[in-house]
Amino acid sequence: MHSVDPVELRRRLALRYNAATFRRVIAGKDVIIHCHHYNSRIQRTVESAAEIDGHALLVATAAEVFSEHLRLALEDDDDLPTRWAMAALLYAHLGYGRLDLDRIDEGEVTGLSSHFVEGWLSGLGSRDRPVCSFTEGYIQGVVHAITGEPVTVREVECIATGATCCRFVVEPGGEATRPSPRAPFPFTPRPAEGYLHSADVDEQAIIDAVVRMPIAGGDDGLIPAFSVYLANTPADFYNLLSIRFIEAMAARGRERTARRLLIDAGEICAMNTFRGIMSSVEWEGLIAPMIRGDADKLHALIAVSNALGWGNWHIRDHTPGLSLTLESLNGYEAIGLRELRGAADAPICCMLTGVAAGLMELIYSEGTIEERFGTFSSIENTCICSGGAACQFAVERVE
Amino acid sequence: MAAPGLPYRERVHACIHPETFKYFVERGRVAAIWRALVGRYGAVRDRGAFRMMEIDGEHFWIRAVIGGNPITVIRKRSCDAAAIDELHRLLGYDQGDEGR
Repeated sequence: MHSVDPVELRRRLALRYNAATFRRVIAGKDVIIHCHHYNSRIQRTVESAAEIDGHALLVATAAEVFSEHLRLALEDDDDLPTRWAMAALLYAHLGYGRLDLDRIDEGEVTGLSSHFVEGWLSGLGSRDRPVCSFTEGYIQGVVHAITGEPVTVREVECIATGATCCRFVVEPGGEATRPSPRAPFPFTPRPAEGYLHSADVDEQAIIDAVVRMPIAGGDDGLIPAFSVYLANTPADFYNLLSIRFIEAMAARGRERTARRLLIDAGEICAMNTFRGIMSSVEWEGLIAPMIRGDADKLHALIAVSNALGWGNWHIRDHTPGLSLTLESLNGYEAIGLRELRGAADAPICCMLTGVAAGLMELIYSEGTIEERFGTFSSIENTCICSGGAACQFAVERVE
Repeated sequence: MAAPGLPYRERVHACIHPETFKYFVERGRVAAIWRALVGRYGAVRDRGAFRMMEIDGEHFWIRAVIGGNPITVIRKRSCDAAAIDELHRLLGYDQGDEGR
């Protein structure tokens, strides 16, 4: 056994970016960068759905994913203090905040800052009950990874409701976390050829700049960049959460509603997130000088999103103000769901479907987010998960 | 003597904090203002690829494109009216009847 210094622990969490696939990998897991708007909204969507226990679903999913993620970040001869140190560091590095695990043996964990608290308060308003369901699951997962014991974690005080810190009680018992079975899906994306580009927008310069950004939590474990709070979240988390939400809703005859809610979350998120990005100093410094017209904004935002780990998507066709066709060559939703549940009989990429509409609404509609919402419709025509060569999204203005 | 209309501020939407503003200051005062900001809130970090400079202070992030104007101030949750008053004094901004 040996104790590892913080520099060594951070080295294990260094970003590995694959320029060919646009994938971001941290400690062996593909991670996706989303901001507080999307993460809080997805949580609210899942937890507020009637007739299902969305809170339990979210906690169990976080527990499963981060039990595995921490194991991947640990080495066989790490001693116990090193394991707990890595559990806290992984949480902070990914951008979720700062956890104090020093009193874990006494059944208590303290959260000193939280992506989900900040996200909820800035995006969704006040809150009268604890908000850190994700962190409950994270703690359950890492405790299981380190001790092998199942535990149940409850947040009993939360910054979102006025407490000075978040306080979690850890009790023995509960369900052990097990990784979901998955079947590798040998898929080779087709070349990104024949797509539209802007002569004025240097997409590669944008991608390179975003990839070089240190998108990792600072002292408080938060990532304030592009005017929003960012977090690096394993694609597995988003995929498993979406699958389980849809399956739970389908069991009550509400599958279409579930898919619509997830698409809506992506649509609203796109408007909020990309509006934040477009009003950021980062945009002002690098990207704004490239912009000559509205279509350029679209090209620039697609380049930014390609650097965030969402996959590799491009503009196939675009009539400014009216329509847009986007193709995603290896989106994380399509590949992930194919691995986790096999082939689908219809397109399944809810997030990108919503984002595609949200992009057009942000650039070509007017008014508040609420006024823009629904002014464009988006349909996924073909999907890798259901046998397509790419995922294709058709967006049109609603007359 | 301040230039007519300066400094003024514009709200920035969809940000970390709803009370986020860009402050536009007189060109001739930019260097002096940044010296004052550094003296009060700490060193400037350079985000090279984005041509961005930033001070990470206790109550806000202060950001600008290289050159320093306009100055975007993103408030942290710890930010209170006293912190804003002090910042406004350094910027030479008089918010008058505006809310803080």
